[in-house]
Amino acid sequence: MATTIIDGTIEEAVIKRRRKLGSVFTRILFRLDDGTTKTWAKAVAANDVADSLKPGTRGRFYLYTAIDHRGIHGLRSADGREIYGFGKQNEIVSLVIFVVSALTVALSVAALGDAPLLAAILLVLSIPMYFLYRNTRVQAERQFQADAGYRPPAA
Amino acid sequence: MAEGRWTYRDAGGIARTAVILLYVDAALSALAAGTALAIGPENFWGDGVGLFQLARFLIQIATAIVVLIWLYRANANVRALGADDMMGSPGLGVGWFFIPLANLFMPYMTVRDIWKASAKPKDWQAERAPAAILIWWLLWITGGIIGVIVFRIEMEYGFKTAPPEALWLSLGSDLIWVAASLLLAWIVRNVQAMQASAWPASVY
Repeated sequence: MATTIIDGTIEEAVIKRRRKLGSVFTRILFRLDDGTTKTWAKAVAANDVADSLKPGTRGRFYLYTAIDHRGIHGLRSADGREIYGFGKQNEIVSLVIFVVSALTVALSVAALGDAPLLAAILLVLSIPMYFLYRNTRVQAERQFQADAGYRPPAA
Repeated sequence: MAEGRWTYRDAGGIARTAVILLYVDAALSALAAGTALAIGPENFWGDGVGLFQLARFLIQIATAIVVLIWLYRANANVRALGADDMMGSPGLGVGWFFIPLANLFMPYMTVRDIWKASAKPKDWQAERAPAAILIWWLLWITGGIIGVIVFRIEMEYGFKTAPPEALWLSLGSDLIWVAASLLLAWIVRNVQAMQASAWPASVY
């Protein structure tokens, strides 16, 4: 897991789908203040944040990666907007996998005396997955709060 | 040259060793497959074959160790070159090979991302990786699965008394292994060359 801060302007934001829990972007292309570009591909964002990720938006963007997921959890724009949002979908999915696989293992052991290998592996993997996603969210929140005093310079 | 907490360390020597071992591995697999084809798989387990297979196994272990060391270094080097948004850590990139279920797809994604980040470290996510990486991974997985099946059959029946079907499977696994090893050698060479060109002090 890692969090990053970039300063720049969005040149392109291609949204793939928008759901109740958040949006997925095919790619977001940033023109950084140093003139270089940075692409954030297959990125997720809470809808509050996603709504502000449009071409022309300039300011400071807060990004994260967790395993193979990457997203944008906040922005402080040059026009004064300050938006934070972090979806909990991956944490919830990890918990669901944990509960379902734990039940499967428990019922199998009780009924058959043997645990299915796939459920046992998923049970073991779901625990670090949950904490990794949770820690990423906590770290992202701290990163955004720690930068609370920052105001992007006006254009 | 350093970007953040990562320092670029030339991996040319490790890459060369990995490529040589992969070529040796491919040659031994081709030799095994060629011999089995020439004399028929059912006649394959003659005198000295056990020793040959042991040597081949040891080469494969050595190859795996060197490739994983190179993978760690290549992963750390792209971060030093400016790819600050890579997935996980270089250690996790190696660790994926040993995590059940995740080892079916995460190593492929790691190698693919290292390729993309080596091509354009500062803005790698928009880069395209060659299809050869996916082909390598599918061959690697297929060869590995067939190899495990053959090994289990041979353990059950004994090497010299295994059914002919197992020996034909083994032949198929060897041929797949040849292609997978050659493709991985190609990937290692190209990634190393891209990283070396991004870091002028490196010689490969």
